Amino acid sequence: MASNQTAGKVMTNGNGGENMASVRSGNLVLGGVGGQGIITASNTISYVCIEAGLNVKKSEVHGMSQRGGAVVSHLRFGAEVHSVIVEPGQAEWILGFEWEEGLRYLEYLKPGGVAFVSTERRIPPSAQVDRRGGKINYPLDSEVPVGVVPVDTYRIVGKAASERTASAQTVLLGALSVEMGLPVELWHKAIEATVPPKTIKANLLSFENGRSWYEERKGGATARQGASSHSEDYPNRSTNGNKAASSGIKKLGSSSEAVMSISSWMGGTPRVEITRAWCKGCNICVSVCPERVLSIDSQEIAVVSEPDRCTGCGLCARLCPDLAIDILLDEAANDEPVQSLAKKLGDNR
Amino acid sequence: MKLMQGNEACAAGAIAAGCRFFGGYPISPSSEVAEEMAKLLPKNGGVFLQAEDEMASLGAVIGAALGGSKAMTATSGPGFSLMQEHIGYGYLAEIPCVIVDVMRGGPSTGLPTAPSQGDVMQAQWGTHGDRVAIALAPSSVQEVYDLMIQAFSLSESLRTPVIVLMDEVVAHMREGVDLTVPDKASIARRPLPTEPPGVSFEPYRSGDDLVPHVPDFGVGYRFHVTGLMHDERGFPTSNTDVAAALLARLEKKVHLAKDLVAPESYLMDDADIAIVAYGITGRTAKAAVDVLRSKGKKAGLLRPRLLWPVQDEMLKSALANAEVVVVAEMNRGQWVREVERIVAGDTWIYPLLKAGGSMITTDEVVSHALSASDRSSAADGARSSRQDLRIG
Amino acid sequence: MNAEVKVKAPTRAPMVGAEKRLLRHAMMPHMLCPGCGHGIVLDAMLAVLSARYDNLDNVAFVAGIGCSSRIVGYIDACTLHTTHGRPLSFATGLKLARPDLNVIVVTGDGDGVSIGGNHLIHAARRNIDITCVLLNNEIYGMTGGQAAPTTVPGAYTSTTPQGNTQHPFDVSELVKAAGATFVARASSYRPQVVGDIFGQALDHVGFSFLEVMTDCTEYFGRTNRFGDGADMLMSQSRYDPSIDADLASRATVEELTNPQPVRPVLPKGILHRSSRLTLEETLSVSGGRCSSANEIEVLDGDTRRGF
Repeated sequence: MASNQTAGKVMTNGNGGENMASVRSGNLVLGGVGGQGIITASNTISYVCIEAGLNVKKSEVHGMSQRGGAVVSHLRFGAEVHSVIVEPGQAEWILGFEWEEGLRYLEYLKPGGVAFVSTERRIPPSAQVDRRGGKINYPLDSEVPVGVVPVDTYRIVGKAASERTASAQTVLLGALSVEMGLPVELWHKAIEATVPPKTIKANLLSFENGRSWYEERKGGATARQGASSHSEDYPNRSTNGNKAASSGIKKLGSSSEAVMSISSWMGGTPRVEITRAWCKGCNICVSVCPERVLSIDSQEIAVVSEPDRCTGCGLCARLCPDLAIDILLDEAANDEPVQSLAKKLGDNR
Repeated sequence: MKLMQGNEACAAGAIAAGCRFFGGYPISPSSEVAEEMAKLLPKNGGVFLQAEDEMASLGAVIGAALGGSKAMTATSGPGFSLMQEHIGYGYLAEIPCVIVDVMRGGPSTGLPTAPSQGDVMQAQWGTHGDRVAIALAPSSVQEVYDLMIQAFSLSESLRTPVIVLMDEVVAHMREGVDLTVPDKASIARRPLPTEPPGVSFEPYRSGDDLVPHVPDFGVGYRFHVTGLMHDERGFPTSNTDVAAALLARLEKKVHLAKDLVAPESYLMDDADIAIVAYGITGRTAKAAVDVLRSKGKKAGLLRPRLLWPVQDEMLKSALANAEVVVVAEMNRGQWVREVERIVAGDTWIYPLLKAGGSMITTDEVVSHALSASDRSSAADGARSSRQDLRIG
Repeated sequence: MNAEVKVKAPTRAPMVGAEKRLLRHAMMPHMLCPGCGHGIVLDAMLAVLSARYDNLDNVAFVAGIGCSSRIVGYIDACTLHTTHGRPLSFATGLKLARPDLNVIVVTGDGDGVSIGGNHLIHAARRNIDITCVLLNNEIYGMTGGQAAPTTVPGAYTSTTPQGNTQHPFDVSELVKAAGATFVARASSYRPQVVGDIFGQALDHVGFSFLEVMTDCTEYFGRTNRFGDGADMLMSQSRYDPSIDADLASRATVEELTNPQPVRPVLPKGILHRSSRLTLEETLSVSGGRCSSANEIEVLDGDTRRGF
């Protein structure tokens, strides 16, 4: 059986490795965006650990994140586990299912730990505007931090786009399995038990692809210095373009501040104003407003239906194709609502 | 006096007229204009651009003209065809620029190094839509120099593209040229706006002179230039009255050129046989007039320097007393149609047409004029059908 | 809330929208369709310019023909609406005559890559110091939704009723290969990024090219059932699966027969940046040598010198 051979190989590697032979305890943090299968993946890992006779505890924060919001799961396993929460600096592994969401949890990584972070990027519209500073709040082209292994999940899956989405994230599990060193057949069994039945085949394949990709990478990485290998894995940067991209980011921040210059708006109440004669009722502002401030009236024109909810983020104005939206600042003598607004924004992240 | 080629004189005339931008693409037999401009422009503080094609050439010329430069391009038949859209643009958007077309044998690639006068109709009708062209036709190297200066003057003062139709013979012939730089005051410069910038400023409004005082880009006025029908603000309009008025004004404006370019008239006062010819054919015809006079025939030459717009009144009066009109041109019959349109019914017209890449000779003009005169007498004044002589 | 404390007369400092002072208000509303991404890009560009300039006296916008090109008519600058495909040639002449002007070309995928493709690659090759913004909506919008050289395989258009079978251009790669010294791509979904890159493109000395992926809702979106403007805009947030894969690997037969065409998800950001002499530098034209004032001075000299 192919799986037996693979398993045997892993065990050999594990026995021959320095710290790899049958990891018996560990801490994991999984982060991503709702809908990516983070909970499923943590279930799969738990299943593997339980099958290996280990005690597992996991927790997750998902709440209203089913589509697009942040999801995080903590998972601890060992002979006996008491607390479910991983302390900062204590995670052996981090699985990031989305680039920024993976980097977000790096503080949990133990020195020497490995963070497998997918290069998939899902930039929410709201990331365009840090609601306070007017900066772009997404690490577009930042350096790959120490300990992070960028994983181009979609490329590693290497199939048609329609099939990719169902199984791309399992690539991360494949890579993780190399580090954890538990028998590969347990992983297969766990995947079969936890993913939707229709996607078992695709997920098993993705798992194997991820596993062999990481084994190959590990083998090659010893010959190279760690940081330089990143440029190959993180594909939108050539060695040459790297400098340009990172220096670009610096400019990006400064010019966006100049453009937006909204740091002063905390001194007043933001108000949406719509030039009705220009609006063509395309519905974009209604769709993008995070606070549901806007709606379309009976004349197919956007109106401000919930003015008090406006945080002045500016998304509607920036994305209005008709240039029909302005955000004005009403400077009020009473700064009480402003303070509550500031508080609200402070809680935002 | 300096011995030089027509194409070189073309470049020298342009520089003397203040041209400081040339955009062009190599094509025989006009390439020497570009080569000469490439030498002269940097010495005179100008810019030479070899463009990627003829559309880009004239596009760049129009762009430079909007930036304030006097600008020109030079090309030949195939390139002239490609430029037609931008000539129309320059006309509607009222951009001063000069386009030199050294005519070669066509259609298509045709006879790249052989003379022709086959682009005469294209100069007027090549662009889609209603456009009135200004086209000048020099017949000597000296006149190339002089007419280039006049072309820039017309183009600047009327804010319209001006075409200089050279034929391959004039372009490559070498003659002595007096390169006197004209008095600066005589070199026209586009009229500048008198009104300050502001919301009420309308760049395309014109007064009695019919020429709008459009400012150059980047001098404090913000305005729109478009190839769409536009109102006096310069903004696009689909108002049919505005569009009709614009077309009418443009036509009227370009017709002002009729009074600004005098034809050459040689022994026309008592001429029974009037020979009408332009460009290099005009010189052949002039020699033929002398031969005919030596044979006792009262022949004369009318050589228009301005082919478009046609100087109707001038032609009508100049040809009023002629018994026979011979129109000689190096094509299958183009400008003769205009002569027919104007003097038909008053006199007999005998076209002498020769296409295919060789010049009309003096002998051919003489013998055609003589036989025309004979037939005219035989017909005893009665109007008969046109007697063409087509050579080749 | 304390009803006693009366709100003083509100000052109405625009937080977002100050850039609209640069619009030609008499021309608004613009003629673009509901949800058209071009308007978003217009606003993003104006935001950058508004932060830099009091007025646009010395900024010239040059555009060709098509929906994209029409946006320049709404900008209160020196605006030149040229012929189809040729804005870069007009801009080249203008910039050489007036190197002091900031010349920005706005073009589209049909205008810039199809009929004007030659001018695009030559402008890139010459490295003339202008900024070219190409709005790529993958279709001919103004003429009624015909296939463009950027239309993805499988897409329905009015001239590909069975689905497009032709291979599209990767425009940014094309321009990069032609020698442009600044090449970037952004999408109308992230106007902030469009603005940031546009600002960098303006700062760049040499030919700077910014391709912005935008949505044609009325033709491309409707014909291919991509939903309304909001749906199409959101679809741009999808993951970019093959940052380094070229288009060839994606135009598979599988996709050609796919009834729902897949819009390309192309790498975004600054794709290329390098430095070499600009056309103006090689021609030694800097500082408005062709200005009318200068010309008189030159005429005073002996034009026969050098003959």
